[in-house]
Amino acid sequence: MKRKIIALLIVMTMTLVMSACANSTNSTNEKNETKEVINPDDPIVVSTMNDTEGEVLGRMMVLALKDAGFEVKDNTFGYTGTANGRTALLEGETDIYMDYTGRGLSLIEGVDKELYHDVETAWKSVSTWDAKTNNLIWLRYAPFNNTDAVAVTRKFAEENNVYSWGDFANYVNNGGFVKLVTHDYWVTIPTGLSGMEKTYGFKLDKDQYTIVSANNEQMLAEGTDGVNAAMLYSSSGLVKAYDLVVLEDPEHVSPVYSPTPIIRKERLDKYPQVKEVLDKVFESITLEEMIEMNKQVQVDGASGMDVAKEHLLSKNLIKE
Amino acid sequence: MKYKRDMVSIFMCGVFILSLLMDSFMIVMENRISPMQHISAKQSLGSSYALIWGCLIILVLLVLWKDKSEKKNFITGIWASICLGGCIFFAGLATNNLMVGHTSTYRVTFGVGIYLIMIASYSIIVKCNEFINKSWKKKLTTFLGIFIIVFLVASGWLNKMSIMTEYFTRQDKFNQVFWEHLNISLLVVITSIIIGLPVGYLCYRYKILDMIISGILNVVRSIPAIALIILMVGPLSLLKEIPVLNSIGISSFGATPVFCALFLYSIFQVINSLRGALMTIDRDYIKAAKAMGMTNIMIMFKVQIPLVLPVLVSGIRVAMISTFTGASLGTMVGFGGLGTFIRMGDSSAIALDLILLGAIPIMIMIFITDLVFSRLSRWVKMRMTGVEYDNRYELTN
Repeated sequence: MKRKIIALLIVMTMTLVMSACANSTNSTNEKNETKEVINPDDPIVVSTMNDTEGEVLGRMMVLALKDAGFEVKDNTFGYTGTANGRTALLEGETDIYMDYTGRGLSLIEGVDKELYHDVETAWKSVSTWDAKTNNLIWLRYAPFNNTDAVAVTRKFAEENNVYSWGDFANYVNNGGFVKLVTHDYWVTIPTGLSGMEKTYGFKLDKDQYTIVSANNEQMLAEGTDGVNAAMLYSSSGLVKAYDLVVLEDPEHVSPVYSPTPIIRKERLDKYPQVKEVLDKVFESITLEEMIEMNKQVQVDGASGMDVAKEHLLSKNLIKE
Repeated sequence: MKYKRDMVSIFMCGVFILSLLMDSFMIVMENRISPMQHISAKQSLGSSYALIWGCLIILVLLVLWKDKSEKKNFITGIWASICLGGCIFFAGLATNNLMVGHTSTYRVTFGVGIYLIMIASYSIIVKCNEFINKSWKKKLTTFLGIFIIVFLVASGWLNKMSIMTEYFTRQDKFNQVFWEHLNISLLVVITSIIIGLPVGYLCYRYKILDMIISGILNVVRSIPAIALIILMVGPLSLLKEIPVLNSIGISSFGATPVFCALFLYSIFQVINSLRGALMTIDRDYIKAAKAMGMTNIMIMFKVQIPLVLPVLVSGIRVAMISTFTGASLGTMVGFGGLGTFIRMGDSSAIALDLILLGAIPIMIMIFITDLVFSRLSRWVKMRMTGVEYDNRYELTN
């Protein structure tokens, strides 16, 4: 009896381990069947943050690199936030990680605020800093700004003539009703709510904003609980889906957040062609296109892979 | 004893009727994030609305007709089970009706009514099973409906359902993360059994070892999983500097931190259940075994292990369940797993179907584990101790 049980357990264990092994070998075999690869058995690991834009842009990088003949390990949508992703990059667990210029700037101590205005200078300063201190190379940025912003509904904007932060400050100072939903970090960082209040001269009371972790745009559009302003990312697909008005920020309190792939220097030195491939991809994206792509994923429920492929095909960046 | 009419079943029939009349049989959305619109059964089913009423009337008549006889209860149970599967069939039909003339961004999903019908049918099945003694008949009434549902899903009848639409757009990704999730969970549990059993036994034999190991594991177990997985990154990045460990695939992100964290939880469960069960063995058994001339090894294999095996099996069951749920946190540190879908669902606008797509496979895994292991534990108990019934104190009237 006992023997039977032990034999059974051993057989179960063996089959499970075997199936696990079989699975992993299968997946690598499939990859090798494609054309000649530049980096056999040394795949380039591509990672992004887990949000919609990370998914779309990550898949774009993967597709473009595969098309150029690289073997790629797709770890898109892998990390929560800059902290984890960047540590993985510094540890050498990933080769390419996509981050935003603004996020990079905030890592530099005592950085000049003037740099926030322009994407070119922001990118230059963060890339020289990172190359010098961390051996990380910032490749070409995408020419759009996905910054932290606040949006209102079109109806609200038209009724109260609120299109920029100046208008919003006037509205608040005249005693207009405000209920802002925001992520927690935006309230505390100096380029967030407090910076806006200082620059544009208004002050929100504690009961005029609510902290939530997701779903801001939906709450704004549906007017849940009287919400009439929501913090969001300016390239969110929901801006288009809900027809929201993103408040303009003429004083550039919020820095330019432009998505940029970051690569470890040793990997770039080994495979310099990566730069050329990814530069072309990122140069090709405009804000409208990014919003549209995000909308297709968030609203229409398309997969990031399909959306990315469609974009690359339309720009003639990949064959097939 | 006179048979009292089965009031629960009659009440549940009432719930069934209500759910057909109520407003929310199906839910439709213009796209994934637009507000929900509720559609009643009459609107969504069209011409087959009469058919579902037919099923219901038969069920009501059966419930009123049945008494204590096993045969009548069996027939009623089978019919309730068919109704359970049937309501999913009708949901598929309603979906196909509602999707006519819409693009793939249009979403159709179950409303409250469908869930109510499922609950009502299932309650009637459970009530019928009270009067059924034969085990195969009980199984048939319970699983027939589930088989119908599985068959409908497999045959593609529900392919236009919102959750299936999400599945088909991300099929490759889903298959990948599903296997990742399953593999790491099984690997964790198997390793923790292999290592946990000897360690647990040694903890039972040597008090000092017990104090050290249970001290460490108790502290680890009290850290929430979400924190532990991230905390693992620090020590692991030091460990991977050692070339030997690095060459066998230790890394500070990806599968390793997830494995380590879940392994610690899982081994805690295995060691604790083994040690705890060994502690409860009456000393007289061991004394008697010794008096019969058994060696320590013989005592272990012939007395202790048979006595603790049922407890151990249920300990492994708990370990496995907590591993299945815990593995969904792997998405934070670049591992993947079904948590990826849960995260995708709430990354910006909440897409409930994506969250469900991540959560339902985990639920099914847990359900199957629970079923298999509770059977196994009962079987082991029967073989080892010869007691066939559950050792439970029940109030009888």
